[in-house]
Amino acid sequence: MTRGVLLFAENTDINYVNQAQILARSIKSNGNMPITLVTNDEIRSEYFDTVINIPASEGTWKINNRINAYDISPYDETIVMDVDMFCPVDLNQYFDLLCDEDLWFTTKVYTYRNTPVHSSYYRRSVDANNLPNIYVGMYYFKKSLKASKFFDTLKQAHNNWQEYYTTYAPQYTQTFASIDISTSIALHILNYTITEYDIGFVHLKPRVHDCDLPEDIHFVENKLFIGNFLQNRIVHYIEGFEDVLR
Amino acid sequence: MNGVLLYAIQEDIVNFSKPKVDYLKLAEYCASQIDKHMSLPVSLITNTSYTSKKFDKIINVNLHSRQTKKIAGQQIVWLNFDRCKCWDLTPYKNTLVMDTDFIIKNSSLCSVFDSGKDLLINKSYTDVNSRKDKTVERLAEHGIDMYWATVFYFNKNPKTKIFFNLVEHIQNNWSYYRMLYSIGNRKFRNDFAFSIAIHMLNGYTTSDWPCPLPDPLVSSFDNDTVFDLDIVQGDFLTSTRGLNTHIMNKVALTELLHD
Repeated sequence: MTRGVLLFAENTDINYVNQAQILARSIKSNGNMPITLVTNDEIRSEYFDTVINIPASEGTWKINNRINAYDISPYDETIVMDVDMFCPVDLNQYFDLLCDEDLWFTTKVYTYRNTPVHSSYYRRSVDANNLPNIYVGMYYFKKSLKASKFFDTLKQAHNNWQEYYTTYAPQYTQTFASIDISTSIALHILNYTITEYDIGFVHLKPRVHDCDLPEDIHFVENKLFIGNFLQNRIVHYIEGFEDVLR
Repeated sequence: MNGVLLYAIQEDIVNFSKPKVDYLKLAEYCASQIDKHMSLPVSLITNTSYTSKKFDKIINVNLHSRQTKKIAGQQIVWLNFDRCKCWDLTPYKNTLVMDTDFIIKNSSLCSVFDSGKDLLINKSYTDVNSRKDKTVERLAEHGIDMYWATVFYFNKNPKTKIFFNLVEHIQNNWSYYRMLYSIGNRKFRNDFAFSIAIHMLNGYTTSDWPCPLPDPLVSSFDNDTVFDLDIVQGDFLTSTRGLNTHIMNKVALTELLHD
């Protein structure tokens, strides 16, 4: 069984390819893990084992290629990650933990203090419509019948998002397509239960914290600290953070 | 063996003047309340030549450092440097340590001895007037959570030995740790040192170790008026009858007990 990480990066006014390189470097420095970058950019980087070129997505928020992760991935088991992440953990451990699953999504996120996030500020539509509260920032799938069926349903939901969102998320209906909501609806349709594992990532979006983030972000012996807090989980960062991580 | 450990470290009384905070008097009262509600042996750590049959053991230590603190508008001598030595000094295998301004009024803390835990200490507190003060929830605005060394339980094992050694190391290097953890107050506080040691032993992050005590820390503050041992006033009068209560206004507490 082959294992690897799949990253999607299509540059806009934000340099996602650069973020992908920072992430790939952090993954490689914590374990020997193959990484594939899916991009419309021409790139050569020591951190990517494979680069798969795709045509550019339409629009300014280039997410539509992500629903093809199952078809694109060269691995039997794949972890897909958003590129604006920093990985201070050995992903081999995550694969070992998740290998009995066909499909797994992050269900719990944390503050930089390692306390669970309870705020639903960014998840109103999910909460109001009792949809599965998952995060696509990091997820796992195995090439399997169940995962294949899920991605087929996801494609349906995402390609017809207005209809699906109105039907399955009539409260606080989101007015734009997002992979989070489309995935949540697909899981809901399939009645798929996600197993909980304590590997949720740190979410640095400001509204999930009860105060501003500390300005003091630094490394001590290659370990990332935010304020006085060592980051032992994958960190999903916000704009400006990559300057420190670079 | 189980027991309670109290500290009464104070400067020598000069010219027979009554101290603003009489830690020995507070300790005597604390011990009598423990005897009444918990029926546990109580040992006292003191730098004085005090003797009393109220205590199971009296353990003498030397006074080596001093600092002052303002309580209810009065500058008092505040000698809080030996708390980290409790692991070595306690005569008990399982020890409940408490400040002498912690007034025991029920037996709820007896259950710590059956908890099977190595260390129990409260992180949150309940203000007698339900006031919220964010400055005592964390060591700094973005800082680590504050644990209250007012009352805590530990049993003697290698991990708790490391913990108290670490507290002592932090105390001995207070200037450095104070800066590292962005603590504005220059004064050494056991609450701060304990919080930092817990944070470090948790791998510089938040975890569920150590567990809280079975009894929430009910606390009044320095400037609150103490009418009697059951009635304090911050913003308004509050009865604390039956509740174990931390009365920080030690000056008022001393006056009450002397009366």
